[in-house]
Amino acid sequence: MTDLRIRPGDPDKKIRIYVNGQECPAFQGETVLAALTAAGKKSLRKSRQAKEPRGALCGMGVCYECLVAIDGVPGWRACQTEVRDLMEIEIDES
Amino acid sequence: MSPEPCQVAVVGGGLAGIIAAAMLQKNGLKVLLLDENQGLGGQYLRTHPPLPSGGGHFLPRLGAGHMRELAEKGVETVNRAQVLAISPAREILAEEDGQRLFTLRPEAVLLAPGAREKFIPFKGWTLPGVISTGAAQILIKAHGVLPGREMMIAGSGAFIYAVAAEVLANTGRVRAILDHNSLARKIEFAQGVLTMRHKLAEGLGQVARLLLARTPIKNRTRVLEARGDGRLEEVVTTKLDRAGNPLPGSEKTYPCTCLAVGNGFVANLELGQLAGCRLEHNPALGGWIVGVNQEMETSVPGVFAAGEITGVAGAEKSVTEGRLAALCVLHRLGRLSAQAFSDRARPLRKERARQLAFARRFNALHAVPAGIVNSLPDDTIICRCEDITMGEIREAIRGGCRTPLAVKRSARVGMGICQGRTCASFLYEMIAAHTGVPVSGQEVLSVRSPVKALGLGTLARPLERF
Amino acid sequence: MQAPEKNAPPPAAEAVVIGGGVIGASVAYHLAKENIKAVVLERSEFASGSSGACEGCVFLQSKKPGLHLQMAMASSDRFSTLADELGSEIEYEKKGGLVIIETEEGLKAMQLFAQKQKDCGLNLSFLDRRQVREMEPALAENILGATFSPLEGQVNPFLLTRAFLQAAQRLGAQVLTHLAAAGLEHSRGRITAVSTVKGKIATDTVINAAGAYAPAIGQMVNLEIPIQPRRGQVLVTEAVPPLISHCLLSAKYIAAKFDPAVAQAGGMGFAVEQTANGNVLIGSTREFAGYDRGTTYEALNTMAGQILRVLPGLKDLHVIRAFAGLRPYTKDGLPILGRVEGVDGFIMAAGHEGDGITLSPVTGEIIAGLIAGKPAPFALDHFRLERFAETHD
Repeated sequence: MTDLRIRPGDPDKKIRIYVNGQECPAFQGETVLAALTAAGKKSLRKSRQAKEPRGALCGMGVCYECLVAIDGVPGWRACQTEVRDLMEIEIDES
Repeated sequence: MSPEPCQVAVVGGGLAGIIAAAMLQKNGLKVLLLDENQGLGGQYLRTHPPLPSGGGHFLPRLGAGHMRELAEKGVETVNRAQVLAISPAREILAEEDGQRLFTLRPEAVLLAPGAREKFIPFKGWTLPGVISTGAAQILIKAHGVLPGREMMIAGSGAFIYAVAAEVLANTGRVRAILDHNSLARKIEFAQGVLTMRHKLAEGLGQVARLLLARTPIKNRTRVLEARGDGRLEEVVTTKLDRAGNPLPGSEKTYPCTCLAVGNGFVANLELGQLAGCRLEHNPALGGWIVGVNQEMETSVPGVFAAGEITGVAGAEKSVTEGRLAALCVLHRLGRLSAQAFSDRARPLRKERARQLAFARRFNALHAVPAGIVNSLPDDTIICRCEDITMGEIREAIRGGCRTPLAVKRSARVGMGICQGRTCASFLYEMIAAHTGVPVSGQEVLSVRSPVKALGLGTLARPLERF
Repeated sequence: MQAPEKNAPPPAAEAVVIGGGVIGASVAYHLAKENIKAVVLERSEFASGSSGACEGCVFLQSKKPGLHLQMAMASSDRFSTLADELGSEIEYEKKGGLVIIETEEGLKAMQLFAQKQKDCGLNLSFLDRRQVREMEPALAENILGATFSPLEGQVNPFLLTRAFLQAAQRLGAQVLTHLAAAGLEHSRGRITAVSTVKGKIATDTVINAAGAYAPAIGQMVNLEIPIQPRRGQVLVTEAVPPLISHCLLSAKYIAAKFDPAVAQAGGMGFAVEQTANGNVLIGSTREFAGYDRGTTYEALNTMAGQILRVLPGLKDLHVIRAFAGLRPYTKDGLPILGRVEGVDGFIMAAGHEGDGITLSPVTGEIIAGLIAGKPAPFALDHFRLERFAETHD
């Protein structure tokens, strides 16, 4: 499994999140985008009109490209949302 | 909600905002600080955490100190708050965490919402794996995550080198840095910043790291195309002539799964525009900015501005303007005598003038040559939100649309969820290249409330008065 | 469209149309069909007034039974072939429309209103709760029912206006944008010219198609034109896959249109549709706020709450902007069409309230027919400007 973390995360802060049903490493305080990027997941959704693969671009909440579904609700900016224990994230990697 | 109404609303919890908020509250005003992120600090402090050793650059320590002060002085802060609208009468609409919707009308507003990355599209830039240099920096510095084990960095200006150095310092590899400026331009720039000692030290440190790693730096080079099946797999680069046109035969292909691009920053003008503030176009300060007078006040009475939106000039100017704006508001609201105000503002104004002068050196590196605009193939996506291509925009211009508004209405560019934040600056460059009307002569695309997208459910929440 | 640099007006024209919105555009086109080559003067970009700030509904159930409804039906028929006729895409879709009924009183009121419309020949049926939700599954369970007409549709008002203008140009009309009509010259009770900052256009026929701004044009010939701007605010969501397949209005929305007391009491009702691009447009208020095209926090908040009661599944959609348009309102809900007394050559074509898009084809036909000397398809008496002076407030 891909792990792009620079340092091992703080074990006291480790939590469980699920991406498309599979458990993914995550640590309290980081954004959903950080967790997804660390796991090598770049393709997050399909563009509105041309239905082409998209992922994060600006990383700071202004481009709205990194939208993911969280706990059944679509449209969350992964770069602006903090991970939470047992969070269920759906991305379109197809 | 608070029992007493707030007197000053500070929009933006970056360096300018937190410094101003702390100073205002310390001097007896009731402040409400609104910030859209999880935690305060804006883009600078989240990517420049103070070193545990206590050493290093002074700004992170300063920032951390002010954040402590905010807590100590009891400054009311709302995190995860999006300010959606502001009227010329300072009536603000905001939402907190998607759960609460409220309005407030303070006696004074300080707008310090910072800047965002400016993008120059290229074919294939929408592939997953292409990110901004800002996004790379946030992932690495704020979250300890590499966007990719090996990356390429492309664009213009000084920031691309800073980010490349960060990648190297954090176990990553940099395949190459592509800079659309020439070596001559960069030498000119370096000479101009020789007197900025700490910036120079920072820069030299970065260059040293890059040289040690023998990172290839390609001047007058940009990305011609990003390619891959559903995600970035390779990057085709091209050398440019003086006008920015690709030089045929100079293409090189690199395998690449992670590319960070950076072409400078643009001010987050939207709230200032909505409030009716007069805007100025100043290429030396990043393009369109909110105009302020010597009192850091915009053209709308009671609306002040500080930080990147009065000119893209970096963290030091944000600190200076945060302080200066706070003094101005204190003076305006009767908490500071004219004499005390004048005495304390004078050195800050001097500092500010120096910082503005230096900024032009950095911003000059981000000029977009017309060749880059004109050489983009028709199938390059410009409006990412709505998948509108270069060809469609060219068709609109050929069909008689000469202004940003006309192109927007005709081609629908800028009408998606980001409301032009990603594509508008390039749209202005396109119109300049096609019509000859410089960006300064074009009318900025209008903004409408809500300036930030919000859930319909959030907009339906009971409207509270703060 | 001509680039503004090539904007010099001709020294003379057979007719000058003031206003480059959907009405002016349709008039110019229909005139050109009659071989009358008009010059259209638009002070900004085409469709920059109400035509560019509306939802694009081609709705029949919101029209007053009688002449209003008859005109709308005739106009609506034209839409099916309009794209072919004009030679450009207008994104017209005859998706059918539902007037949603939420309360018992609404039910009673709609039964009366709808019966009158049926008597006029409108193809309309009553649906109960189950039938409505079969048609539009996204609707909430607690609505009582709806009236349905398969004839309702929606169109892209921007593309429609442009299509009329481009077709008019192909037939010889001239469209000058960023050029306002600065004044009207008249002598001995007849129009002689329209003046602009770039020169005078000699003409004996001027059509006032300036919508909410028609009164200002009337002032130029000392005519009082009782059209008032009536603001409508609209929310726009991000583009999403199809969620709503029909145009949806609420009974209250129609009631507010015709009964100012209902509008005043804050019962604004809703009008919702999903555009071809996928954005959901949610409207709309009816307010007299002068010419202010700003949106208000209260209205945005109220409209959001209101729509979620009937379409709860929209709650996670992002609202990305809001806008406001000014409906050209007249007291009796009918537009002002035709010649005016005292100023020969001054022809009115404004005051369509929220029906401009729907009535644009028939309005163009009527006005062009009038100027070309053809018999009118509808008696124009009811649309005369002078009718207002003849009633007593």
